[in-house]
Amino acid sequence: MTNNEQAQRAYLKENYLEIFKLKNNDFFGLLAIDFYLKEFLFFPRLMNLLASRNNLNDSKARNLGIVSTLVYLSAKIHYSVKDNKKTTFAADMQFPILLGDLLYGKVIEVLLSGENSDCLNDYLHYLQELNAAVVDHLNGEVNEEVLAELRYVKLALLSADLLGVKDEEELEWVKNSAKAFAAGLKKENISSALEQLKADGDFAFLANDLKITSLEDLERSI
Amino acid sequence: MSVVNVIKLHKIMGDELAKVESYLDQFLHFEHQEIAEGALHTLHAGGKRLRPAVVIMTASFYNNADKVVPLAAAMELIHMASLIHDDIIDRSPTRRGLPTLNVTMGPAKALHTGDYVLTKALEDVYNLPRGKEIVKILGNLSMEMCYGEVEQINSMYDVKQTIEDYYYRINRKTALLIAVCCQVGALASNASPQEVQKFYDIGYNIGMAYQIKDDILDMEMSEKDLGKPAGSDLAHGIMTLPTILTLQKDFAEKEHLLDLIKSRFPKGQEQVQEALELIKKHHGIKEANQYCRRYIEQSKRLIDELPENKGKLVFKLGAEYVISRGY
Repeated sequence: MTNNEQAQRAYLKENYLEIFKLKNNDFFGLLAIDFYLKEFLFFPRLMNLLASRNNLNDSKARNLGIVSTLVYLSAKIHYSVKDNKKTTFAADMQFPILLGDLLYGKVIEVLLSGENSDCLNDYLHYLQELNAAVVDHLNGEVNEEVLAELRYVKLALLSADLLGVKDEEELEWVKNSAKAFAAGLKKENISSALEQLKADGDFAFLANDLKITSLEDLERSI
Repeated sequence: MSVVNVIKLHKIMGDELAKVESYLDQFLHFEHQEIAEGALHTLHAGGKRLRPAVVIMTASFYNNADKVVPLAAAMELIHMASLIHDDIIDRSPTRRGLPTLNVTMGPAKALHTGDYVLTKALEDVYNLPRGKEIVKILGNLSMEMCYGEVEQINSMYDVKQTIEDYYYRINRKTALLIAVCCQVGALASNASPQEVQKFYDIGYNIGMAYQIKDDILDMEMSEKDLGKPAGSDLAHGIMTLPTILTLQKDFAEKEHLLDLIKSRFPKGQEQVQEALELIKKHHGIKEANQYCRRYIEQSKRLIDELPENKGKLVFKLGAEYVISRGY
């Protein structure tokens, strides 16, 4: 394992799993929703790779990778709250709202404690755009594709931009990685999606993480 | 007494509070029409504006009240965003007599409206002097508030709760936000680190007293004054200080009181009323008032330690208002 990978691993452990611990238990046990564990590592991997490929600042990339994941997860967890989905009120409604709120707070904490504190407004603008689009989507005015584009591609491009990636080809790769990631999550047959990703060397880094189904898997993958 | 105090308080800060109100009204005219309407609906439902008042009170101490109007307004917006989410979490149909966004927009849209308001408020604060420092405090505050809420949900109808458990919850539910309002009001006025800490401690004590009083009023006031049945916290399984203090004692009807709570009041308000009578009879409310008074006294001691300034009087009136107020 390289020094950079070790640093990445330590940073992820410290900044991720601690967030979900509560006074007497953790959030994982309280939520009825699929907790998107396989979605935890996309942005950190992407940022890390971008830093290596473009000789950019590693620690800045680590921080942005976590922040973008927290932004992504908070928005997606809040999106899981639906007007008519009330199997268990606490697990379907109360805890997802609170966890999403908690992650908003964590975004600020992680961002402002790193070297990217001047990026806060960029993330806040992004969240405003996304929340407004979700309201429009709930009104039937914005379709699922537009929302997915915002959730994956726009956030990946924003993260790359904040890291300092300017090269057009590289940004195109970021865009396609985000699309491949979104497509991988959507595929019902995850194994065929994984085979396809592995076959395409450019996005092979996504394949293993999409197999994560448990907290143990996640800890091992980190 | 309380009314006089409030008038005095508002007379001293009247201009700034009016400016906050007008700032809020303008600020919430977002480009997104539905979100703007939802946010303005919540704003116009009213409210005590305690948080902005605390920011302004603190800044008045440094003759800086007029400069913290945007910050005071942002603290109200952050509170407003959390209320929008609370109303979904608590399934509240009304707030201050008006339908909540939970009802008018539905929970999903209300939730994203709250998020939108929060991010706008944070952006506004971030662009103020010392904004980065203040936003970091607000991020931490928001996390602690969530932890407190989770504990409240997880501990419903739990009759074994201690006073410490209750303090953990009300600190995060109310006291921290008031403490932070004092802290940021002092920070924005370039107070020394020692004074910032002192103001934080004053706010914390006032906030703890404020929530204890709120919990007492929930049991003491009539349905007409509360706008909801008396004892609604207890009816929803939230153990507040009067109940916890009562359950720490031994008395003949204790098992009956425990049964009422554990069975979640199957006969409704009639049984909630019965539980309230037992809590009153065994001095739960009276003793909770004493705890409240202790926090206020502590806040006044801390206020006395501040340098001589006419703002001290405002703070003392504010502290006294907490204990003498109605709902």
